Amino acid sequence: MFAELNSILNTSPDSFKPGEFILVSDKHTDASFLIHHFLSFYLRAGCKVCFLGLVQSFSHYSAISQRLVSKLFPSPSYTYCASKCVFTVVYDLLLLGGDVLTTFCMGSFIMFHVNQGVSLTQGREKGQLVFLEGLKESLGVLLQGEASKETRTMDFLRDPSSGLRGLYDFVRDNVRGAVGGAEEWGPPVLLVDDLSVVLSLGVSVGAALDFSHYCRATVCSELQGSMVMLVRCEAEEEEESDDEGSERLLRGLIHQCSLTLQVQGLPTGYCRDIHGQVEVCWRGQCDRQQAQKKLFQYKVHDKGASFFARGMSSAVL
Amino acid sequence: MAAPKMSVGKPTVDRLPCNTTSFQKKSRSKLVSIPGTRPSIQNGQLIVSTGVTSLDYVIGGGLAVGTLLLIEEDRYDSYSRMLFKYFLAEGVVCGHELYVASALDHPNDILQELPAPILDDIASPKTVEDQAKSCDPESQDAMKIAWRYQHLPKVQTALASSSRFGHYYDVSKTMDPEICQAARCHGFYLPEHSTAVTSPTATTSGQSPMPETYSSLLNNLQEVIHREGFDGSVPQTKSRNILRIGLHSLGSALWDDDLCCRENPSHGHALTTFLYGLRAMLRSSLSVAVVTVPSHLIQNRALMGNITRLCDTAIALESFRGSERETNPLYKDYTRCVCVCVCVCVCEREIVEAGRLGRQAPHRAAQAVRAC
Repeated sequence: MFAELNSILNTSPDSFKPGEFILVSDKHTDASFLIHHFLSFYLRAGCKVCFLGLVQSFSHYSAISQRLVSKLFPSPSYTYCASKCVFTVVYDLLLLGGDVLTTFCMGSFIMFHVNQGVSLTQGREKGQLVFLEGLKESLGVLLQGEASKETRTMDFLRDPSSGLRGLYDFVRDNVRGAVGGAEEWGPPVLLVDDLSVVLSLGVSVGAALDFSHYCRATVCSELQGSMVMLVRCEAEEEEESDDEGSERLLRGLIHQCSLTLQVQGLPTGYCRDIHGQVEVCWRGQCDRQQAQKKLFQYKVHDKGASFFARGMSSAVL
Repeated sequence: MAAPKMSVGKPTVDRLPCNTTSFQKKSRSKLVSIPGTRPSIQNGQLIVSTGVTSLDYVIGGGLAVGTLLLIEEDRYDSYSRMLFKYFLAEGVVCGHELYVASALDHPNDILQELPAPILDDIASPKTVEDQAKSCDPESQDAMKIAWRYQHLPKVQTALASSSRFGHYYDVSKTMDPEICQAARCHGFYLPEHSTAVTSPTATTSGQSPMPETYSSLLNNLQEVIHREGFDGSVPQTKSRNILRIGLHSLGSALWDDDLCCRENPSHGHALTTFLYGLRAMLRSSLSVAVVTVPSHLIQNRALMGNITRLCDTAIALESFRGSERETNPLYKDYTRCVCVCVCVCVCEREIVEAGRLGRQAPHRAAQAVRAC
């Protein structure tokens, strides 16, 4: 979870708007770090998360979420407190007092990096996280090629013209929570890593848009949950044809969503300190007058990502 | 982690009895370390060498186990084929198992053309009698200044031990057949398999997006992985090894795919579906794959973009031969091969911008490329 992104979006795990459809798109870069952010965000918020991992394995997300450390209070100089006894005292205070804690010790500021990595395996065991491993299921479909399997989730691999009905059935069954079980989890959340991969596998743009519309109707409108989808585009310099799949899909999804995060590489090329820019756009809803746009630049590093206004990279200042 | 999670300790170096110090590096974990691999510096993933050390540097240390490298072929398939052979030769030298699939040349022919590794000088012990016997004719060679080191063994050439990561090859010579025989190789030659393939029962609805050639290749690969235990199916009786998969010229017309022939191919998603299945297989086994695709024949750039995005690392080769750059004096110093890299790494998932790389300059890789 990236604290800077939370402040940009004015959300936190304790308070976020219900019924949001967040679209993450990228062009000439890779925006999946945002998916990791949203995954740990919603898990920490206590929501029931349904994750469709179509392009990577579960262990990939699990390994990365454990490494994500949220920098709580950015400061140019800080030191770790090495003393164990002070740490235990501080930890208790942290549980009571919130996220940021500073304490004076021997005249120097000490900022605590609390490891906020989330354990996906635990979430899965407790039932908070339902994970569809698209790659693993796809092998079963692609290798045998027979219609004997009971699960029809990845049926679109066998027959792309049939659309994403099986995938939607999976979402619908898993997003509602256990019947008769204690509803200890918050509103449901659907996360889709890479909806555009189904276009590469032969599914039509219309079917993908139908899928997202059905999911939005179920998750956002009916259950007041949230949805986050990642779409990857290939930027076309010249408009060869209007039928370019991922562009059409992106346009259709932008129309459906309530918040877009469009990630792009820098137009001038590669830079070591700035990996790209994010354009955040709140679409005009009925209670909000007009769409609002903000542009930030970001850098992804080992344990997270940092966001800053244009030209305010720490390397430049 | 992209590969089945294995925390690999530093490999223990083979200590010869004649070493000068008694220092022994202790391996921190009890897990077996696979020869020819090492954990990546950036993120601890298990990586293998591609065979070309400068390419390893450009793609961030090496190829992560469980990932796929796409090589977009150059015009005459000369340098992409060479990279392909380097990859396989590295597997032979490291002791990995090989899986080669080709529609044009028989895999055995490809394996006979591997470049010869440049022999490394490692010290080997000489017994006392040998030293005594060789003393007399070498009395003229007795050291006068550094006589304290006289008793140390003379250096003998031997094949580079597999504890090294990344080797150098001499392209002008082919690998010794004995070394090649020592490696276990599985081949898939399409003309042999297309006659033997039994068509599966017809699907009830619609048509399968993959032609039979790709299906049979995928099935054969899965069978080999499962039989040899790369996906963990075989209990831990034998030591773990890596399977290096080389798939040559996928997408060409020989694989019954019209991706390269038409602008709107009928099987437009055949190769991408195959790559998706291959990715699934790689993620669940200890293997690494290199796929070459004749991208200069593919007219539909959107399809090429889909293919690139399904691979973890992609490089495109453009050789000067046959292009106008050959006569351009600017490129006079380069040895004819330019790698234009667009890397999408699995771990940190960042895109490294294009780096220019001279093939014969291992230490002068692009400064602009940041290792991911």
